[in-house]
Amino acid sequence: MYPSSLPRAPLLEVRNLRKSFGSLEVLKGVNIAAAKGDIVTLIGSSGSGKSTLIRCINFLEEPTQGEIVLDGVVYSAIPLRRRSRRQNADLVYLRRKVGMVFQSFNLWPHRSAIENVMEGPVQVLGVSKKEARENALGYLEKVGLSDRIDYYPSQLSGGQQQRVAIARALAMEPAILLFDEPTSALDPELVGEVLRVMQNLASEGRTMIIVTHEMQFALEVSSEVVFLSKGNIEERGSPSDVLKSPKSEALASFLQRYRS
Amino acid sequence: MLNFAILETGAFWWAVLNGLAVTLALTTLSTGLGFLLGGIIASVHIYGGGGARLAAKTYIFIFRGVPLLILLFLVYYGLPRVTWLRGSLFWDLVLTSPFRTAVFVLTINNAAYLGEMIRGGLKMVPPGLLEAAAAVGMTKTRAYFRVHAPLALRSILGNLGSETIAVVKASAITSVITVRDLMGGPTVVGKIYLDPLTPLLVVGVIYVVIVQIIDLGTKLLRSHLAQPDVPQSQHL
Ligand SMILES: Nc1ncnc2c1ncn2[C@@H]1O[C@H](COP(=O)(O)OP(=O)(O)O)[C@@H](O)[C@H]1O
Ligand SMILES: [Mg+2]
Repeated sequence: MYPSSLPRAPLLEVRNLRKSFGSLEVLKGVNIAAAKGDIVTLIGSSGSGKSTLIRCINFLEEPTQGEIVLDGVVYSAIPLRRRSRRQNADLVYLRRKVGMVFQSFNLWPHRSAIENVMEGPVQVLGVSKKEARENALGYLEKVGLSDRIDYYPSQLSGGQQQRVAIARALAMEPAILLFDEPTSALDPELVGEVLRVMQNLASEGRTMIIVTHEMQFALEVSSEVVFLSKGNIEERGSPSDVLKSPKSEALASFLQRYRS
Repeated sequence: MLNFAILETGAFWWAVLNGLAVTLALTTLSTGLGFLLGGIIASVHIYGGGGARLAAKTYIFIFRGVPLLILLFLVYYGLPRVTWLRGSLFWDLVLTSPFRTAVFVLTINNAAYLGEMIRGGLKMVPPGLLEAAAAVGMTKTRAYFRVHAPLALRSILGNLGSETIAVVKASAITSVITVRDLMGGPTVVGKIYLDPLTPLLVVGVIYVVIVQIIDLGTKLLRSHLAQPDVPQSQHL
């Protein structure tokens, strides 16, 4: 829990991360750390750089400056230059250990639910189809979709699609899971089923970085809440400190808008 | 006047049968090879750096623009005059036979059309699906073959059918460089029997039938590749 009584070596560190799109500086030197089992929640208004931050962690977005440290391995920003073959291989390795769940699910439409879940293990980890299938059944059961394994994404509701996407991320047995507003594209009545799955993951002690606007959920599961504003971390701390007694004007007014 | 006497000669039907085989071979080879070349050109266009991209663009620009007939004449009558080509592999492989020249020219031409079509298909795949592939640790190459190309292919399947139909019909033009295809073979027999029209009627009907078959094939393929509306089986 935050603040931790014992110093623990962080599993993931984001060090002095900067990101510019052209002349627009979106992240202005952000530092984050997550120890094993930590759940860091990122909040902030639209355009504050939350997605960019989380996408820089697995280099879907190339940082302009700074580094990502995962399990003691340092991955540095290589801006302006094409990555060498070697450096690309490093990224592939990083991404195997970092699962990601997108706002828009991004399930592969030409593959069924179970095929979506099996794809990473079979194609990337070289697991046999038989074994991948057995494992996939387990992950789909974990997200409550045992009865939908052969459905195609187009045949599933948004909430079901997002749960398949979570199973797909879990199937890689990642060290850490990234969520970018996993419930923002869902109809309100479908938000609960996805949050429940995430809640279960939290109680299993999974390490997660979550961008969300679900303040009640953040309050319940987070070990740290980070408020991002205009590319800077404006405020951070325990969920109750940050969400219940904001210090800055920006956070107070942000929370005002999300309190319904 | 039409008297259809030619329909009772074995030579005519032999020419039809032979011609049909030649037309099918022309179409299959030039569509297959054109698809391969077009796929490479399209992928270079999407993934390549500045120079490669420009080359791909230029290729499509030129060969989509030049009429097939001009290309055919240039290669069949023009290239053999280029003396330094003599003895080259290209000379032996392509220029020594009208059929292979026709396959070559149709391939070059198809690659431009198919390349442009495939490029459109590749561009239609939502970037998020490729990011999802990257996020599970796929390399770009793997993501291309597992996600990008299959989805692009599905999105252009309908157009692929109509493109093949266009090729079947366009291949008739190769009779001008003496290829005895479905058009060339029977019409030559027609000249001998002083009946130029009956062969055209017969051959025309056969083209219509071929087009129908391709249409049907495309439909079957599409429904085969489409996601089923109802899941077929429950494995639990
Ligand atoms: N690929 C991009 N190119 C240019 N600008 C971008 C790109 N992605 C994000 N931005 C800009 O960066 C800022 C932060 O975006 P984002 O990280 O998506 O914010 P959030 O997720 O907090 O809403 C926005 O101003 C957005 O317009
Ligand atoms: Mg966002």
